Amino acid sequence: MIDIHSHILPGIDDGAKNIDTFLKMIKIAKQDGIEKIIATPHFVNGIYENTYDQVAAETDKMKDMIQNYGINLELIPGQEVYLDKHSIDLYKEGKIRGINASSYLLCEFPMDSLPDNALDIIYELQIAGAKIILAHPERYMYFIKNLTLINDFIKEGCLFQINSGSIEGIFGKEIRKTAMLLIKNGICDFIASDAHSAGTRSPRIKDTINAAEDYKPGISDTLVKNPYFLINNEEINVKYRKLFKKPKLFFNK
Amino acid sequence: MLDLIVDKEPKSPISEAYRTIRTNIEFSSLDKEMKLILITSSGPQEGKSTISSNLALAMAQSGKKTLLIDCDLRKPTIHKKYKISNRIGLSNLLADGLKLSDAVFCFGKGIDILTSGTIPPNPSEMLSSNKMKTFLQEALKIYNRIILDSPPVNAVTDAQILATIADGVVLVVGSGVTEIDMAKRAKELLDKVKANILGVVLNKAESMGNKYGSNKYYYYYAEGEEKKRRKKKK
Repeated sequence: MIDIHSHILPGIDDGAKNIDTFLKMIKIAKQDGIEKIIATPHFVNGIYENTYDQVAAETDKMKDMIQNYGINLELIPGQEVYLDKHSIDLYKEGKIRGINASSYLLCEFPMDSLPDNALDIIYELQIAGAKIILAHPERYMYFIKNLTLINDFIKEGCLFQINSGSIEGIFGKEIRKTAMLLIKNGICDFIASDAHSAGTRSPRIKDTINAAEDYKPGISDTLVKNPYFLINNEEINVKYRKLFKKPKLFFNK
Repeated sequence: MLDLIVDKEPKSPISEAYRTIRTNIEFSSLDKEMKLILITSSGPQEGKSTISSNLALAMAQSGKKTLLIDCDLRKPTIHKKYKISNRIGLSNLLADGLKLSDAVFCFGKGIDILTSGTIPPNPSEMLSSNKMKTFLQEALKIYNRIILDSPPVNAVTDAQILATIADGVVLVVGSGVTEIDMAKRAKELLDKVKANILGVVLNKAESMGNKYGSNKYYYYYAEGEEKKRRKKKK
């Protein structure tokens, strides 16, 4: 298994605070059966400006440390990019790049409101050669309120990554419900931990991938395989999918 | 690969229909050459951008140097049809004083595309500005044909403004989409500004070819793959 979304690198964003936590997280991941873990520190313009090269350098350093401790777990560089109007320039400059220098870019938007130009940014990034993976769609307020909004992102060709924590319910009932609805409809290409610590948000994905299988038979196979395609920069094919609005009855709002 | 039928299946009956539209436009006026053509419709989602994208290609195929301009500065879609960037376009050209050669996308196949650019707060003012007129006059010196894609005429005034500049206007109506009253209203609005309406394109028409055999005629010559829909020129 590969965990494609984690804030495991110590001290460079709001993830692991120090090397101790980092090592604890590595051990948890190893125990969970994760073979490779992708370090995706935040890239937020003006707040966390961790360029791809910096992350890659940091990852190399940490790789050696893991080896010294005798743990067999591969660390791969990536970024979680907070998209805004500067993202396209940053992508062209190479400050933001896909995971493992592939074309797959892990992206996020603000939680509370969707920017008007969100789809335009995605479109321009794709023209520039990126493939967009939208991180934790189930956590965005606007998707929770109106999930059919996600159809626009499907149409643009986005892939979707759901947090294992959302499926466990650590962010609340609504988010869990949304996550399950997405899985049921097959709008889930990856399940990742989005681990920030060794506590509740730790790098574990095995149980939640199994849980997803109960909701949508056959999905666990895809969820395990897709990350391998991703790190090798191979095409990930998705079937036609669309979320249909439930007919609203007047007494059942 | 483009998703435009004239490019993808140039021999299909639908592409043939586009060429018919092209010919009809060419022959719609004997005295004045139709160089600046505006495509509009009464409401949204009737197929303006699809028609203008394909028509531009069809015109380019006949050897005319063609410029396609996305004048829909509100909900632009031309760049998506051609899968090109929309970071610089018409609005930047008008507002920031860029040159046409800097803003235009040379697509090849005899066609250049000017996308809408950054969405401005004042599209109507921009389109009615003198700068827009001078820009079009300059462009007409370089291109044989210019096609303007515009917002729906019933919704906003942009298409009316452009209709006063254009040599001719093509109104697109979607079969089963456009309400008859809306189409009448669109014609009224265009007549008010003394627009030269060349004709109406009936889009999204269900093919009845299998029933009456009319399609067979096309297929005999066209060698295209079988399609369920075709477009007609009225």
